[in-house]
Amino acid sequence: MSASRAVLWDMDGTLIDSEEFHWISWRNTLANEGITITREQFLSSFGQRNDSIIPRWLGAAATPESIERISKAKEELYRHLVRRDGIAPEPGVAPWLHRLHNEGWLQAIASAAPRANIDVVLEALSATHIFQGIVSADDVRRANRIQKCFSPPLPASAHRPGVALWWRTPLPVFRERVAPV
Amino acid sequence: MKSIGVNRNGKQLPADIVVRSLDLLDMAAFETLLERDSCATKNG
Repeated sequence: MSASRAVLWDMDGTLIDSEEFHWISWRNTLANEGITITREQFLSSFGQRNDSIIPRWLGAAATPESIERISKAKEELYRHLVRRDGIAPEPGVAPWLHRLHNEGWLQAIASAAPRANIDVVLEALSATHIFQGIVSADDVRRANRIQKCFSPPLPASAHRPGVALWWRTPLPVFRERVAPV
Repeated sequence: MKSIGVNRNGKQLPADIVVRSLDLLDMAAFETLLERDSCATKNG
């Protein structure tokens, strides 16, 4: 059996530069709640899941309901910005995506972002057809558990901003717990 | 499994290759990393 080759991509900061849209979304959503955050505060939380971030901003006022409400509003605003303004891939990403696709590499995304965000980004990039699998925040309870939703689990270094490569067959990433695109 | 870290600030990441941007990645990088991974597994 010939070995399949696969690439597992992180999304924010690797596939796309989404920092500005996330910043605007957090800033405006929290402002509606009467909370002001600085860009530095935002950056210190960038890449983490909302249920980790929001309690930090709300403090003792955080409840499961308020976390859910703010998270939903923030992500809706983020997706609106991506749909309205589009989003560009990071430099060098588009040629690699298409080259690997054309050469028969399997490609997947493992991201702490909600699945709806990933779908909107892939649509904006016209890249939905390139990915055979997606793992999102919806698939794991905590971002640092993403490694464990693969069988065997990914090493801790796998979920950093970047790209991970597989050569094994069958590919564990595609075998279970990864929703087909 | 091999990894490529992307960090535009040039900070070190625990990856086999770290680049500031994927357009700086050598054209053979993906194949080379997998060959290394394959050899390491066979020898291990």
